[in-house]
Amino acid sequence: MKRAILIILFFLFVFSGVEAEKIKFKPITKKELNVDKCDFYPEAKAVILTKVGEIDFQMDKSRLFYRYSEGVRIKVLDDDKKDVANVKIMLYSPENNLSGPREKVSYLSGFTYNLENGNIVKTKLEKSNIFSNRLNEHWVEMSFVLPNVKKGSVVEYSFMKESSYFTNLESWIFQADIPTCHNELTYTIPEYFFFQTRMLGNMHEVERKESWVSDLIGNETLRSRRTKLIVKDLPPVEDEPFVSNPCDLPLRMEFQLVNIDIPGRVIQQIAGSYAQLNKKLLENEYFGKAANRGNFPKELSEKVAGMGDLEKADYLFEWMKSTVAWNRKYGFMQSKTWRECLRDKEGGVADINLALTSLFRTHGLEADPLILSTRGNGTVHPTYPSFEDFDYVVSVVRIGDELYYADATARVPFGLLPPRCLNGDGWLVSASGGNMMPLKGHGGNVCAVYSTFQVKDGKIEVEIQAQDKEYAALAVSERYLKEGKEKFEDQLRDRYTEWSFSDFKYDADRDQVNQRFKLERPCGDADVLYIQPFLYGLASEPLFKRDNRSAIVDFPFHSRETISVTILVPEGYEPEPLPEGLAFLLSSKGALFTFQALEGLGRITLTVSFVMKKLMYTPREYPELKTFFDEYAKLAKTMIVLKKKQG
Amino acid sequence: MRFAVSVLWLLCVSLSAIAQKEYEGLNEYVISDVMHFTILNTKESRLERKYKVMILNDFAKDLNKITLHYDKFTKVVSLKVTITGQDGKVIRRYSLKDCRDMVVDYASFSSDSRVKYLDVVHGRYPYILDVEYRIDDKGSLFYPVWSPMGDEKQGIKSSTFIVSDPQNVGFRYRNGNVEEPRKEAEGNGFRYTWDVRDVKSVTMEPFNGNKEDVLPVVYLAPVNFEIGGYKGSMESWEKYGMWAYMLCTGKDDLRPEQVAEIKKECDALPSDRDKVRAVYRYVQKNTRYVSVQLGIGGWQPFAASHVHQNKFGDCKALSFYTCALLRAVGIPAFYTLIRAGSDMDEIPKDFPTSRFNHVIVTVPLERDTIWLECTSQFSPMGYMGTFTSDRYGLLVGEDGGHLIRTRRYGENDNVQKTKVDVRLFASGDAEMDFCRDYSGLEIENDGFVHLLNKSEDEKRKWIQDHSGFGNLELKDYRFMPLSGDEVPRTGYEIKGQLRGFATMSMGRLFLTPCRFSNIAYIKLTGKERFSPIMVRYPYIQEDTVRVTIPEGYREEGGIAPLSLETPFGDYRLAVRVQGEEIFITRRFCLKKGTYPRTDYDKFKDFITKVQLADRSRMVLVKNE
Repeated sequence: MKRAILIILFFLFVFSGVEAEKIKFKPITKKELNVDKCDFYPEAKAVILTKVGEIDFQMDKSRLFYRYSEGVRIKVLDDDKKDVANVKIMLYSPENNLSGPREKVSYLSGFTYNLENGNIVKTKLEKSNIFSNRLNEHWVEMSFVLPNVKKGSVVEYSFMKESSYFTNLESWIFQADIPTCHNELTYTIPEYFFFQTRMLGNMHEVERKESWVSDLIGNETLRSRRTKLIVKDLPPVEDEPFVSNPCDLPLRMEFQLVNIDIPGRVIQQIAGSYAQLNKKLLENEYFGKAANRGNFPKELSEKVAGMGDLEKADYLFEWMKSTVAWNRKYGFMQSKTWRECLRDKEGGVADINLALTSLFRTHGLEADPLILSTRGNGTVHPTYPSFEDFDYVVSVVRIGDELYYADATARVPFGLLPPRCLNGDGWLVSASGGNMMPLKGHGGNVCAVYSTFQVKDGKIEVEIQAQDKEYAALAVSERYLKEGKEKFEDQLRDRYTEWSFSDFKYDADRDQVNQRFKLERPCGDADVLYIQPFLYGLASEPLFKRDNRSAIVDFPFHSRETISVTILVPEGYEPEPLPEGLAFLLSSKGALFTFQALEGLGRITLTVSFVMKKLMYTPREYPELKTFFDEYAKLAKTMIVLKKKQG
Repeated sequence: MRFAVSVLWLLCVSLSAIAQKEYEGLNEYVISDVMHFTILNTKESRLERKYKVMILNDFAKDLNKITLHYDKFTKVVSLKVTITGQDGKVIRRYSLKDCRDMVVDYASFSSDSRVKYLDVVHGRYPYILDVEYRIDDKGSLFYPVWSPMGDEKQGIKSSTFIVSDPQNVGFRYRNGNVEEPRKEAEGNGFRYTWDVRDVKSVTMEPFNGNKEDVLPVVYLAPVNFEIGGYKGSMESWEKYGMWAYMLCTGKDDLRPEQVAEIKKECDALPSDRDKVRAVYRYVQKNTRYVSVQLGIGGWQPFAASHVHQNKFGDCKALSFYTCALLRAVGIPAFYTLIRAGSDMDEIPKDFPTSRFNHVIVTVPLERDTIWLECTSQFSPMGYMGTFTSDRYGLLVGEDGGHLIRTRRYGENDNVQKTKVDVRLFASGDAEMDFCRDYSGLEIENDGFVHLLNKSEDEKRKWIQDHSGFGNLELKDYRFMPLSGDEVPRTGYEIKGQLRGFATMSMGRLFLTPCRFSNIAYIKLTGKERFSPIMVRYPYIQEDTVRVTIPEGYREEGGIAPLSLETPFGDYRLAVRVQGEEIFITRRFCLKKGTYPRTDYDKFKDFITKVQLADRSRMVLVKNE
């Protein structure tokens, strides 16, 4: 959500009152209309021929704003892609005027060009095909449908948006889900403004040109820096699994206003370093101060009085979880007071976790809030923070040398963040200056499975025990709570249609979920017994199916899994030579699995162990990663053969 | 005061006493729910609802998420929400101004359909939620449906539906699993009351049929209605169709040059069928689907000339335009309202209501009737899919509406044929030639038909994502183009290497050769069944698999053949070994049908046996 950082400008400088500059296209050519495929991406169903953008600043009375103009020309190559001519523009437009100024579209036009009997036919976008629709209290969507679009048409539109939110200019997206031949952005920024710009997303060659332009205002000259970026022949963005932030993928330019520095005046710092952000947040009424406020019940203090720090933290955390429910609102600034939260028994992420920090501090624990961006919301910039990048806050407690991360809005135990928070790094806001902290690495997918096979009275009996911890426990217990015991058991039973399933037990404490069940099926008095030993805990479908990859593979947490199987060899049988042991270590040493089969004292023991520590893999590492998981999946199909002894 | 205290105390006791039994396993428990619908006149009505629900945990997600729809004709007048704690104290109140106001119809490009939305959260369970709201309606095209059973894990103590008709305007109703209403006098007319009490929660089940087969539901509809200045009658399908026809009046306005353009495309064609195909292709080529639903535009199509000029429209506009073009070339064609969607409730034949959500075109030809889906850019002519096939539609003509039944696809239409040739190596890897043909509704399997128009890159990804054969190294593939009209055909071929097709373990090769087609996606969980079993879309899977085994190996454990014949369908698995070649043939047929819930065990038994047989394992061992 956009947040208005209103800056009152105590100075007045006037930009030349130029008439709104519209994006001008070169006249359409027959050549453009005759394009029948995209040269560098032949299978494209539509291609952006040109996309041109301009960003500049304007002053109107005493209001400073920026103009964002976009002009696009798209060639439709297939009937299936005629919908490129349906366009939506999002406008930040608070319903309540007091929440901030509204963005508006000051200019919009569109045309469709067709080649009919060798002549260029131009159809205009009519007003009746332009719609404006309020989506909710914050956003208005303006949309339009270009007419007369066929396979072969070129559609063209341009619009200009005016916005007062100039501390965070709208990002310019170079890359789309269809290929782009030419994309060009020009931004002109007065010398008094210092913007931090960053090029993000998929890599591609960018041509950059810079120049100075001057405007004469009275006798004063106002200089502006004009930057032009040109990108050519850009392939589309790919859609792939295991990408945690799809919004991070397209090649794009982001802007962050750092300061305004007008000669003879004090520099006005807008955004800046994390150190400045840290200071600002500490002093903020709805952040730093909120993390120090709150009246908590006396009984609670009495209750935790004699406890050790870890026990105390855990108790306070559980108390918070059971006292105030999460209302599904994100954010890192307090939106309601602790008193209101207590009254309503609900609050947002910031309300709850800032109060949690205060609760920890009140009871003598060392705790600080940590702001972060959730999975899907993009990753935060390592050096230039932007308020808008963050959408969440948790509490971090230091006990001895250990840091414990706590989020009282989720059904997680103390020390574990819910998966939505596991995204890159977050900023710990503390009086000692704060620092960047990795969010992943506290807790993993931890499980252990033990199975025992026994052949008795013409039957194979199996006992399976599974112990899940941390994120593995979280996933199981969440499903169990949601489905209820009966359905959960039914679903498990249905995985073993060949077997008769019995004695299912489930118990969970805060650290661990234990499941236990028995399977049984007749095997008669066969000469050869085939046993599939890995009935639980190993997936036989490979994790990755595609043969190549363009985005980074991003796992949310590390894994530690062990699966042990014991097969008691029945009287009169002997095993065929056991499969050989196996170990696979990624060349980055990021993940390892081992398999071992042993025999002795009338039993066969099989052990699989899987450990993954590294969580991000580049496309270059993908082939090896895929092979790794392919081989791991093969283990699930291992078979054990027992043969009747001869004679 | 003593009295009040003791009542409160009694209430607490009774609540906690119930808590043991009635709430177990529930997320929400409806203590009382009264929905009161008042018909003011043929145009206006008022809906007042008041419910008291106990929210038991944070999995509750129905009655605590208050979603009130409105549009140009309806208005949410008031809302009162109260949260009460276990101790009987009011904790919080909300009103209409606390609601979010949002667009709901994101599928539409532009729509005035919106909601007032309030997500009630309170962290101390259980708590009592009292909700009271009123919605006024200025149009009477839609009367409410009373369907007291909401979400899974929601129990009901008491739910009531009252319809007041004080002016004796008249209305119609249709009951499902409820008793006839009580009828009392009210004003110059009547008041009807339906009740349900003490109902267990619903369970979503696979192969579910119509809601009204099992759940309490009351459908309500007007006799005479009016919306946006358009008056009509819903007494019969004829009359309702008459109204829909009236909305289209004057919209058939193709200009002579526009008519000439389409005539030029069709004149030389020999048969009507060819002309229909030409018109349909023309529409697919020249228009695109854009949904715009504003005011009466939600039910009234754009004029044909407008579509011709702008080359886009929604289902109404594109269907109406197609009708106009067909008529221009001398072929009668009818605008047809339908309830689209693969798992929609049937529209009851004997109860005219406005429960349609889509429009298609009916073209009655001499020998057969063709239906056209005008919102698709690539659908074969006459293909209905699971979206609109085998259901009632309302054909709209000059003389009013006629209920028609759309094309039904039988099991012999919907066939998936797979032919695989596998050459297995001693390592367990295999070389594979795979060929699959789809016909009829089967072309929709795994979204296949939508892939035909996608890029090569996406086709390749689809094969890798959906093959389900294991670890496939794709060498070559080919997609067959769509052919045929009403019963289309398509398919694909792939060549590749299957790594680990067989598992090499302990001197043997283990393989499951029936893995290419199976029905593992049918999940019949649970022992008890509440609703009848309904198979809507029948189909046949036919597989022929040839496995060439590596030299020096022989079969140690084989696959047992199986033949099943049941009322639900049949299955045949046969295996023939011939030298180093193993031939497997498999056929599975699921028939269309509805069966009583008491047949569930037999149905499940059939499906399970098939699933087990599909997983049959073959063991090959090296010759000594």
